[in-house]
Amino acid sequence: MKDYKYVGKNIKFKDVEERVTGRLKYAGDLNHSDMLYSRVLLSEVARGRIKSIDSSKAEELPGVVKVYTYENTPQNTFNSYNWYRGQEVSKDEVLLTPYARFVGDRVAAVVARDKKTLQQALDLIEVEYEEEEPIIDPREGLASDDSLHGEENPFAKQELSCGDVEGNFAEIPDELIFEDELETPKIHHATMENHVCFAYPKEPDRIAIVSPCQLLFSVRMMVANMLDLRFNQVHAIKAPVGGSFGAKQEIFLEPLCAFMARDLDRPVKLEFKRRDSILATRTRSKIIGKVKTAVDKEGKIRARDIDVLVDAGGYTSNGNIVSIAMAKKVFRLYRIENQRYRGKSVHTNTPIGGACRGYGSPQIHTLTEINIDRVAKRLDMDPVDFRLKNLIQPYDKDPTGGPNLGNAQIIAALKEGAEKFDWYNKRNRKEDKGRYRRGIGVACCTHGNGYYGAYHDFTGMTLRMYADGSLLLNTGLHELGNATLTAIAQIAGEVLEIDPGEITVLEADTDLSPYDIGAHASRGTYVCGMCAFKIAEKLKEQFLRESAKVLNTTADQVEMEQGEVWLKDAPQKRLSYGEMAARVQVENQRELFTTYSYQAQTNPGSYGAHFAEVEVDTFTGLVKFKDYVAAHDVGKAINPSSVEGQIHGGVQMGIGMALCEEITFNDKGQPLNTNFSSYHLVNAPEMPKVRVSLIEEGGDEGPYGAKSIGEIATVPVTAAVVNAVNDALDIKLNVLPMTPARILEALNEKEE
Amino acid sequence: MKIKLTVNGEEREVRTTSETRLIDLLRADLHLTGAKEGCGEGECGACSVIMNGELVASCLVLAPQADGADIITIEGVGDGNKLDIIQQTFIEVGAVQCGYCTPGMVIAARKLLEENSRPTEEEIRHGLSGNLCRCTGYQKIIEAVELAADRLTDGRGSEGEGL
Amino acid sequence: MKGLKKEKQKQNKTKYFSPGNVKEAVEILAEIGEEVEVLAGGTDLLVRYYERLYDIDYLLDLRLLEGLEGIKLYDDRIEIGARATHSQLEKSEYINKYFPIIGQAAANVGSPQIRNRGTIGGNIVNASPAGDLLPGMLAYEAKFKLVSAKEEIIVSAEDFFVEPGKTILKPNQLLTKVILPKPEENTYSSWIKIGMRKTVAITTISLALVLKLKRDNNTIKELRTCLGSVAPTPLLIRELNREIKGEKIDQLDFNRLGELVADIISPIDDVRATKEYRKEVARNIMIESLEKVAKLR
Repeated sequence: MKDYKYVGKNIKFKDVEERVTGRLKYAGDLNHSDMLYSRVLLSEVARGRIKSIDSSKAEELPGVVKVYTYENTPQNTFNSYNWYRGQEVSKDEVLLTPYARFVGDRVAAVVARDKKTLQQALDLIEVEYEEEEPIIDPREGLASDDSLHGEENPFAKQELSCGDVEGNFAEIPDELIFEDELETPKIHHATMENHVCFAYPKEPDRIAIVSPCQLLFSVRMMVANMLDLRFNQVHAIKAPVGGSFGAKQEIFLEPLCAFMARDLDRPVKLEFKRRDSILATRTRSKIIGKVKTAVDKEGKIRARDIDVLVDAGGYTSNGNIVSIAMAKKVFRLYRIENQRYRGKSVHTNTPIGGACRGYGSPQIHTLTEINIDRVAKRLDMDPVDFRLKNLIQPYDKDPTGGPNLGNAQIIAALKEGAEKFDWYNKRNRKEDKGRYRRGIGVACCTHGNGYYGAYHDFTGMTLRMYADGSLLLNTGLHELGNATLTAIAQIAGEVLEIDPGEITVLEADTDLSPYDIGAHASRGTYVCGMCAFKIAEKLKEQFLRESAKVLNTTADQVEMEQGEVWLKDAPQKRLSYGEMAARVQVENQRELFTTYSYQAQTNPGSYGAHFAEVEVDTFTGLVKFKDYVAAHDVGKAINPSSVEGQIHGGVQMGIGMALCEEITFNDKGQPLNTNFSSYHLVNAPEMPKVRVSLIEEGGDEGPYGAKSIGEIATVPVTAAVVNAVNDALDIKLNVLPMTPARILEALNEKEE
Repeated sequence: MKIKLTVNGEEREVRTTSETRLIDLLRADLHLTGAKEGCGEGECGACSVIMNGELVASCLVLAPQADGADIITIEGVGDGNKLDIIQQTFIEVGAVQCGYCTPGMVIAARKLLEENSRPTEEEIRHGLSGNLCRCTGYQKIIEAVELAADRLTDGRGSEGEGL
Repeated sequence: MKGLKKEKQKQNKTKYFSPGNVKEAVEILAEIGEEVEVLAGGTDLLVRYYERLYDIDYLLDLRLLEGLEGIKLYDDRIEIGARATHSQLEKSEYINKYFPIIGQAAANVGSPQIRNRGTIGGNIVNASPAGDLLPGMLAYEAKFKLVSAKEEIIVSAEDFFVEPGKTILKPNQLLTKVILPKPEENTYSSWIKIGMRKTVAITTISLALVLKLKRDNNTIKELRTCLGSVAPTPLLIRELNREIKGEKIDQLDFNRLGELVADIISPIDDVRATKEYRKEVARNIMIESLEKVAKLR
């Protein structure tokens, strides 16, 4: 593959110095002289209408400015995942509710002059609920005709299929049909930065909202919608994001904060604490899934039937769409001619499900990849070989009519990963009989590259070269920590033959930058990176044309490289970009700048194969990692270090889902773990060293062939770990996370 | 009440209360916002500072407990615009993503290397066990600490500020 | 010290005391002990009062109190000041020599950040069923020195814990010292803690075991077995000792003792684990502990 100057290099993350020195100002670090502080009171009951709410004592507390409840806030409804105007969404959430639908529902907000007064004020608000019987288990939600929102429960059903599923199942003998079930947990995103936003009134009759978010233009829209303003009355400004993973992709705090700031005509900062974040932001949707796979004797998958129940929690959010997203994934990994996905979404009185790294992809892959493993084992086939036999091939069609899979290199990823992991030798190891048992597991996965095929997907940028040769790329992008801005600069720098350090990339600011849909759907590099590529090409053309004019020649006679420009036949006489840009201004009387709007044309699959080796302590049920390999088809790694870093982080998150992360509730809907001492993340001593392989075969439309990594990095992890634990103990765990207690229980059941 | 403390080498006198935590004092009174509150319960390490030579969670120290103490925060690491070796290696190996845990990680890593100049990977993992990160899987952070240890013991520390 | 309460009501702010010696401290406790929160390292108190520090009426900070620091070695005992931190215990030469499992337990507490602040006194007085130093205290027959304005008394760790968060410590008393009698020759010990993670985890179940052998280094003189997180307080299993006294360690049926422990305890379900899990793991770690101490001989 071609060697590039900047692409494929570990270029230093833009603004990283600010980050390592603690100088970077996150929204929570901002201070305005006359700023007020706010916090939200969360419901303490899982379900109940508010009979009375008495905030008088709180209002009397010195320092308290105002208390808001449903009685003095707008009661128009919204859906937090609504990201564009014209989108059909089910709106069932309000800023502050008169009817609590889970422990954590927003019932009041306090604004005070002093941060320390907030909790005391919240404690003084007296709320009386008319409690109702909550629905905690989504299966209950399905069984009863009880609903949380005056509609049916399930509130949505989804179906997607290809071929003849029932016909094929009828033909296959029972011994070649394999069924599995899986229950995944409700998971906290656990961004280290809690949710926070900051709003301040702007003259004339405008409001500014500072938000660490993934979709600033949607923040603008939601604030405008909820406050009954025109879009141009709202100025949304992106703050640095202290982790998001989908958590800050849904909008529910900003409109409330903006409303209070406008109401009080003062700057207001609204902050969440960790408990608030666990309960009252969004969670990874819990699913309960069933999968049935029919194979022939040769080990080819003939048909597959999948049923998924999605627990959306107290409000709809993406509870319908996340199931559709799951549905689409299952047709894009294996060649299965006859397949059906059926989903149902229910409301329960638990925290709200929403966007979370992979958008359903980790859940659905965990279900199907555990099943694939078991099918292989029951056919007495190696799990890798069985997969190789059934995986899709490059440029396969999506059997449901979705976008072409593109240069899908899953087979290469699986083979290379297996090699690196030493899969076949590890598999031939003798079975352990003692206290410690080793096992290995593999899982494959796919994820998308943007919205093409599902929604409109475009972005705009403006690029200028200043008279000193430095460049400014104005974008609507959102840096989330995955070096998006750096990668964009590398792409533009490669095209323009200039050090990416010379290119300032601006993030979204709704007053100043071109529109962008947002940092979701793994579209940053594939779609927005392509826009950077195209606009850099356009500016390059313009620069050559204008340089030619200055040099009294034609564009084809001008060369540019490494920040210098010259006439083809006079290579010794070189001008720097800056010297030329200045002359273009003086002599041609024009600025070097261009604007471009790019529309995505394709949406190939990104692919990955992960391998885990674990050692399970049968005395305690604790799992220890011995090895971990992650092989990814990324097309081309623009910034390999950042790609690896995202993979490492994805593994951390997926191991959590496999082994320890779950927000648990008692039967009254009271959460049992609302802090980090009881909700455990994988910390440094628990993490395996992840060995990464990157498959860089390009071949798709993205910049220099690049494809997505951010979300897919976490998609196969849980399945690989579950498969490894099941392999170690020869058990069949189907409730996640596999806590030590669940592991020992499964082991005991097997022995009985 | 009034307390006196030395923060990043500078003596400070602050009017505070016994309802104030060290993290609040640093962030609100001294405008040192590098230490972050990720959990408020000493579980995430984002608020880590060095107090009297020991790594502490500044959310679990009450302001009066810091009376007379010597505190080093992330703002006191490195010298002006010069980064210290740990900060340099964090950048070099790409140990930073969203950056929210980074100040606490740098502080914890610094303390770790002060106590043990050649830590094993296992010792680094344990030394950072009180600092959570959701972006990096810790891997590049650990690599950065290993690299910093190499540089410091190689005597190549003179290039940067050292510890 | 009179009139403290009135002052408090007027100001509606936390009244903060930072006495320099035990005498002053216990005088404060004598007057308003019922309402005072005692602050040592703060790692429990600040979590308990997170965001609600306003709710503390009186705070007694031990930071300047003389006589609560350090680990001192005597001929027959070690005395640990109540303000000794987990880090100090973990690094103490004396502790690691004579009471290794206290050092190990201290090293298992929380994170470096927590160990640097959290104290032995705090761990004991908070009386969490999962408190990591407690099983070792009972197994090593620790005694606690409690001081009030009236008297100083020494109580045994075995008699100290009443229920979660509750001890026999009276509001007017201050725990100042932990006294550990030096073990006799041929004493061996083991500490096992099981949490949801290897580090920074609240204990799901733990076991401190101290085995005293007779001069032949084989015949069992006494076996002290104390479990954490299986009962409202650290649970010393006395029955076991009766069962095996006089037997020889190299002929002991470890499995039988493991089963016995599992039978005796009646743990509960919580967010960390089920009672069945705790019973099973109790058996397993009892066996493992016996294997460990047998190997130490």
